[in-house]
Amino acid sequence: MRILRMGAVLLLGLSFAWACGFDGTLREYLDVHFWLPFAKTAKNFEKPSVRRISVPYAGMGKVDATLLGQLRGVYQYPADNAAILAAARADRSLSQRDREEVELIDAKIDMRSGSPEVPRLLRGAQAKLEQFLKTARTPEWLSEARGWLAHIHHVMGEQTEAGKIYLDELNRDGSNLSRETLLNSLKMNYGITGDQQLLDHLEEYFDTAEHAAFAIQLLTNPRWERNGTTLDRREIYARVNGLLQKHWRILRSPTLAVLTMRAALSMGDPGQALKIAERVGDSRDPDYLWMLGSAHFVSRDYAGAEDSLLRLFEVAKDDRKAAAAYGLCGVYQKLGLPVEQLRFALWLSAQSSDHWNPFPDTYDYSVYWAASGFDLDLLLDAEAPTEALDQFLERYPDVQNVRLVKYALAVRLARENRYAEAADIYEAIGQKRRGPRMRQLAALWADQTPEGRFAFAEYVGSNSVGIYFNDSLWDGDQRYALIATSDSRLTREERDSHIARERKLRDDQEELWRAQLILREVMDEVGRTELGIKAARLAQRDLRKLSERFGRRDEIREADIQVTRWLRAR
Amino acid sequence: MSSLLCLIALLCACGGGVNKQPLPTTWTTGYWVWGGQSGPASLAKPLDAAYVQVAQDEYLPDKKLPAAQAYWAVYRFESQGVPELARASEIPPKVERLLTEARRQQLNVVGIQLDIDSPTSRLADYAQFLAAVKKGLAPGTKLSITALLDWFRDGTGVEAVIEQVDEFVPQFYDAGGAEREVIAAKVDAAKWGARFNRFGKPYRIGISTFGRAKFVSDHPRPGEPTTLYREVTPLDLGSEFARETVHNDVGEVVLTYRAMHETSVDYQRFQAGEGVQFVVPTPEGVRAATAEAKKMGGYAAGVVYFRWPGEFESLLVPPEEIFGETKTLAVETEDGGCVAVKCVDVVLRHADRFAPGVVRYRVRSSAPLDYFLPVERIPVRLAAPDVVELTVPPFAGRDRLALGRAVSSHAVIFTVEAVR
Repeated sequence: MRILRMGAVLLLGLSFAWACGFDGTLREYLDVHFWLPFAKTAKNFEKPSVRRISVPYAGMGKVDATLLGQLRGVYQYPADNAAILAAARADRSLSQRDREEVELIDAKIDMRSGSPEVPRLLRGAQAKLEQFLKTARTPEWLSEARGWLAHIHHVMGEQTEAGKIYLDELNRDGSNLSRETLLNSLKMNYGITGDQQLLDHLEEYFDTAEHAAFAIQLLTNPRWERNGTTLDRREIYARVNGLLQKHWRILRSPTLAVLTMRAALSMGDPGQALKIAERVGDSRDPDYLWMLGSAHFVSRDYAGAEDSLLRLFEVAKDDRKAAAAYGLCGVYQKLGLPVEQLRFALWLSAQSSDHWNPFPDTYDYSVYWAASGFDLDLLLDAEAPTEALDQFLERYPDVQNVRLVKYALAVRLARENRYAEAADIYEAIGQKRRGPRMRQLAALWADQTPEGRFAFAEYVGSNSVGIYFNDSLWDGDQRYALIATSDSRLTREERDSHIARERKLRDDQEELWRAQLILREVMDEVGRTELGIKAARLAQRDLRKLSERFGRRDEIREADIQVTRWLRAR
Repeated sequence: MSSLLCLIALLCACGGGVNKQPLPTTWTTGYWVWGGQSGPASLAKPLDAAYVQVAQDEYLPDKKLPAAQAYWAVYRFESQGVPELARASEIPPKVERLLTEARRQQLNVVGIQLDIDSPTSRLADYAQFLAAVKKGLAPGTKLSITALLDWFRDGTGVEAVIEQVDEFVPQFYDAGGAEREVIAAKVDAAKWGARFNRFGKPYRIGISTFGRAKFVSDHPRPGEPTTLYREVTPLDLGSEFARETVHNDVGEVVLTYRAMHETSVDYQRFQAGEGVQFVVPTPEGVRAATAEAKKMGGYAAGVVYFRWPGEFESLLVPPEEIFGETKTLAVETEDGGCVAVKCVDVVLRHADRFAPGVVRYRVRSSAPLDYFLPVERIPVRLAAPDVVELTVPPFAGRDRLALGRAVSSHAVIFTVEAVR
């Protein structure tokens, strides 16, 4: 039974692991896709504070013995309705509102009976709804009629007509169509990025500024190959630019400029985006600030990207702030300013400490980076120099998650054999095991005699992952972050330096490797003495305990052979 | 000589007991499209015929089919033997549904082909089965069958089978099973022409264009089943394998790679003496078989090649090679979307598949590269800052060969040359 239970738990765990694949991607800011304009969905086109009503739709009111009540009955439970409809129409006692309901029910019954394959009834319903909209006055019936008219257009494949009605209704005060209904309808009508039909009919959206802005932004949304998009970006760019020039009067100047910038950036023309930005001047529009920063970054003007991303970080109220922070990590990485890079990486980690998916809206904006936190971990553990960690603590002593920096600094100091300083930090942050361990190492390190060095190495080798390894950052997953050899987004200099740094990290943090180096020195120094033999045996043990993931396979093998021969030769 | 053969064929045809049909007036070239595999091969002209295996016994595959003047829907029966007679009635309704769907897709499906490996001893049963199928087919729907060469021995009763069909396609491959070191069977017009023409029915010759890779060992265990590989190519086996090359008498090349010491390829471990044997078809072999098929004259109506290439298939003679539409060696790039550098994935196109010796390809960039990240197990290296060098073993070229990712500070242009 216990085995069965364990099996069930294991299966559950495995299914969870399959469902939530681990993503350890690094340095997403080196990917062009990261810097595309923010994706827009229908909800981004919703005006604030639109007042809606919620009244039962026509035919969904009370069913009773009145003629209208009976008509509602045949609508709700489909049955032959011709006679009851005629009777209801002839009923002079009905109010204006009720008479309008009768007409709307009639159109809806036709619509319900129709289908795209048999369009006659649908077209009949369309004509009735259009006539209804010309004569009716009851607001809730009018908005409902517009909704059904849009629905007929949608099922008949008339995307433009349907989309415009839905979009107008989304921002219409007094609409009886719910926000969720309209957002879902728009999504069904267009998908996420728009399609060929939208591109073909683009000019028809230039009847109002809102329609044009909606259509252009949808078409210039970031596109993912996996969504099976087949639209040619160059075609979109040419068409959008041409129409923006032709219809410039419709769009107010800043809107026009931002849309043109968006088209340029989507197309991969950051130079043009920057030229257009000059016309906009000072703006606090988050979309504009992101695109300006992006255009600079993609043009490899990293310093130029800093200002607009900092402003975006300041003004954004939603997850676009996080996008700015991650972008700034890239800016400061490129500018060689690790203290500032750390500031924003730490800010991101502080926001995400309690959640696996800390910035859900970034997906909607199509800005993505992995939640693994590897960027920060590598920065703290290897990329930022020790002095930068010191400077950070001086400059930002009270930021959230600062303990991570202090811990990392203590680890780095230990790697530099500065054990007493490391002990001070560990003790200050209440680290109960590492603090005393550092004190002991400080004492052992002070004795540089062969006996003292042997004792030091023996201690180090018996505290694997407890001295030089940063256990606050890595959880058995570090190897997935050390990918410089396969990262093609780096310049040659960056790549060489990352590869060297990764090697150094592996060497510096590996207690067994460091211990055997000291032991072999002792062995050479004291020769075939009792101490030398003890050192050789310990070195051999440490060498053989090194994991394959550590690397240096040939060196380890060679050293093992040498030590073994040395021991045998005595 | 060929006129003489035609005369003999005609005389033989006169002596047969099968209802004779008019002699075919045109020579056609067709392909079997198998297992839903329809790769990127493209020809200047449509095929005369495509024999398309029906998926799930119901539909033509969803994937884009090669352009053809006429399509045949092929029903394959996997189990050896003749299906029960009762099953014959299941086929016509399926065919009707398929034809309706084909008309909707505007595919000119002219008939069906049954691919049934009937034992020679049961040809009489097979003839009955075919008669039952034919009875249920709508008028105008042609019936074709594949045929095993063994059926055409003397005294097998194959006449009764041929009697039921509109055409037959003898398969000149795998006559001895997949464990042999040869795939194709020799197409010998003098031997086979007379045997086929005597029935007075049009036939097409099935010719193999595919290759095969299988496990081999210096110390095979008797009775051990043959392990076949779908994905392994000679390119995957590095310098740890010794190569032996043999040309067989049907124009195929047999490449045997044996590990010189224990090694592994992906997850497959090879002990010393174990390895992979490739049977690789050649354009010359396929063309020779085709020419020989033409010599059969009489009712010989064409050839059908097995098979149209799948998307990632490399051990075959591609249609372009057979039809002399060879493509020029080229290098293509695809942007890798890097911000701080220019990174592109480099793909070599149309590397010679049939070079008998090692070929070195030099891909030159217009400016020095910062670095190059090769695709795993592809023998490619950055030979100079502006030269990526690929070494391809004999008969190992591919139509599309991903080399790796080239990284430079700015955009560069690539050119390629082959150095033999």
